[in-house]
Amino acid sequence: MNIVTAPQPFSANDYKSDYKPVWCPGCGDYSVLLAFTKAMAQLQRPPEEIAVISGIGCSSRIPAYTNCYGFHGVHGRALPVGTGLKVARPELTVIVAGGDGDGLSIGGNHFLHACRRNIDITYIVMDNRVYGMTKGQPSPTTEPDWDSALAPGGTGLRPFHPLVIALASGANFVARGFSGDPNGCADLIVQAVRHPGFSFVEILSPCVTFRPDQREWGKMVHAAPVNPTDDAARAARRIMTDDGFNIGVLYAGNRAPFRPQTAPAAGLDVIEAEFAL
Amino acid sequence: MARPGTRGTAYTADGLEHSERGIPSSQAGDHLAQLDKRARKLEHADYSRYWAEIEGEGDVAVVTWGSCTAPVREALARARAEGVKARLVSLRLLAPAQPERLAAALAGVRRILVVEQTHSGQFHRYLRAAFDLPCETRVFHRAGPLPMRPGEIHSKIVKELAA
Repeated sequence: MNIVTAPQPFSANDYKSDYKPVWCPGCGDYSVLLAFTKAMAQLQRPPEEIAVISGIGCSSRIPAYTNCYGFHGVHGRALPVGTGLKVARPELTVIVAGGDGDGLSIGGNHFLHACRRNIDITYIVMDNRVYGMTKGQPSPTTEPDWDSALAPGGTGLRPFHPLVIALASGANFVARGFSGDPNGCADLIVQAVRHPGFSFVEILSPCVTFRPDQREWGKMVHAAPVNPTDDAARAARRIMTDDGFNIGVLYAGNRAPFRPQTAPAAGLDVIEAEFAL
Repeated sequence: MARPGTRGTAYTADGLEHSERGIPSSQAGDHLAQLDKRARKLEHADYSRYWAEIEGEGDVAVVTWGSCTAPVREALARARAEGVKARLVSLRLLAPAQPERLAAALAGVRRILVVEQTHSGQFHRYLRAAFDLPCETRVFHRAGPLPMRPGEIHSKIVKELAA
């Protein structure tokens, strides 16, 4: 029997712009870009109906490398922009992307409250546990004993647990991926976009320039040994006690997304009248 | 500007210095083009007649800005009740400077009093840098945090302008 599949109007390439990324050769973010375009092709959403929002950092360069609408804004403030866009234009698919420094340090407070608000957006953090763009300072997820020229002997500080914090703050979907597996990441992104509410995907994405040790991550990652749960407490216990290299959907909750009512769109004349002197 | 959702016009709005197509760029040419473009936008914006609040008649004037405006207005009302004829010019737009418009607002004025709540009189310094002040200029500046009071401004008006 012949299986007839419907033609797929959009291929992964349709979501990619013709600009060459500035990333270093070997950077994990290339694979995240690939995973993103593959995921969008699976979703078959026209590129113009997708908005990619970012802050500042190596990974935050990603909007211009896509053919979607993009906003490359202020350091740490990607989530407020993405939240505002989704509230005003709920029909768009809003993807917020960035790094561990941008999202968990500079924008840490926004991260908490974006999880809490549970707006139907997807947040991808490309976690390389270092500030790459500014030449290798430790980030919130850096291991306490990571020795470097800029932090001799390591920071001695406990790393941030992004996935647990996302859970504790109310994110409705929590997953971890590895950039070395772009197909797996694409699948996680597809699930994250489809899942209602705030979906958080942490993608381990090595910085080969400042963290050459992360080349070993390919050998360390492994599929999460248990199925996703909708019990946040159980998911949190698992993530707190795992080795940080569990890959897969770790939590898929049932909280209803927050969809605030918006006022009807106002014409420019109405807005100007408000400010008239 | 194209609205997200419109086919064929997708772009990235980039906060970094960027090329004409919105792609981050550190090229000197793009840098200069952006500076020129921003300057052009500021220069040609319509700031409307509300670039400054201009009130009253007379051959003396108080020039001020911002939160000093209301106490200056009250002080001038007291002075006018005593027969002083003075203008108020309170700048709402500091930059880009509008020298022709300030000159027109101060046409025929023989003396001005600059009132500002600062420690070192930087508003007066800015006025001197960006405008041709046409006449004798006196300055009353005082640091906060206590707000400027109409009474103290009134005394200065009487002393510096009405004399």
